Amino acid sequence: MSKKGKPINAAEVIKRASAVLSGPRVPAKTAKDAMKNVKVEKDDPLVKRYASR
Amino acid sequence: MLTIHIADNNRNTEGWHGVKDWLLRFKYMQALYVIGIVLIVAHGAWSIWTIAHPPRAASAQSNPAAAPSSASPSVEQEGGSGTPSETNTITALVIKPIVTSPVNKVIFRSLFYLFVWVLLFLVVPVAFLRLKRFKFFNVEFEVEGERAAIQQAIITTSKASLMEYLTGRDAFIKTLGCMHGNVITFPDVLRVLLDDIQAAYRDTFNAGFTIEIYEDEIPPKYARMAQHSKETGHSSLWNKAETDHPFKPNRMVYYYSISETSFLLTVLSSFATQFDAFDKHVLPLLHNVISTNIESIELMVVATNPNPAPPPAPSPNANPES
Repeated sequence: MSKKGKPINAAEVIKRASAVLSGPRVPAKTAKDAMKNVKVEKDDPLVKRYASR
Repeated sequence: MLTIHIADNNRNTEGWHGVKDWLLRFKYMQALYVIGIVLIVAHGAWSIWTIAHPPRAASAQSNPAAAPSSASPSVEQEGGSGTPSETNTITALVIKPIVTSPVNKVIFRSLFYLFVWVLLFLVVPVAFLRLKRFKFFNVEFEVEGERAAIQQAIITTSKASLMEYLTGRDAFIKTLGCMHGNVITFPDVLRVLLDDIQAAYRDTFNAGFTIEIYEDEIPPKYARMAQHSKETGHSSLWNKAETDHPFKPNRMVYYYSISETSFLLTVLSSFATQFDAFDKHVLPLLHNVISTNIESIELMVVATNPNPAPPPAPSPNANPES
């Protein structure tokens, strides 16, 4: 993905796509890891909003 | 010298600000509370002082020696006659002198005012959910509002975190893992990611649900919910009432059109867990993300394939101008 405002370079895109397709197919983390260890502080506005209900 | 003056000014300013901050921190309610207690105590002290030092006009009218002398003969008189009355009881003999004492009256009245004042300031914050826990003698009150709010916030944040995960790189790689050769199918990816979410819900919320995916098929028992989902474009959600049959499952059904001719029906069911508004949006999000990821992978495969297959020939019935 071009993030610097440069015109799309087909060769670069194909190179990146090839790298992605030939790269590892095991994710670094699962949904369980993503949802685990979520911390919410007591003074978080979300907590205050729920507490005020 | 100039530096010293500036430093002194700053110190004075800081000192004043410190006092001002301290005063601001001292909220109006606390100030009112303390002022009330001080006034009650002062009123009690003033009342006792007035009793001990009565005004001359009042002391001239009253006859303090009459009360004790009149009390004892009446007790003796009533005791001697043998008729039962309230004044003969031990309570009357012990309590009456305490209660009738003007000093004790002032003390009890002040204690009563203090009691009401303190109770008022303990009960009112509870009504407004400001005080979460307080102890009054041996009775302890705790309001669970904050803990419940934190739990609710954690659940919401976890589900938002799941959405972040699904739209991120890891879910894309997981989608890529479902590609075998040059073949990747929507239902396969959906099953893998739903299994992942199922495990996450079980571990995080201790909430289990079962997954059913139907391709181009709507079972009769899900027909109405599927129709509702198809019409609205959102998940169709049904949670049983608390008093409902325990073996009736909560359900969430989502109709997703893959193409003009094919569709998927995703059904999540749970006996113990209710589905909420977040879950309702997670399911469409999941389908949309899978669709986008598969399209990206298809484009990558086409871009990196040196000998792409020719596009299918147009059908003879097709309008060439369209």
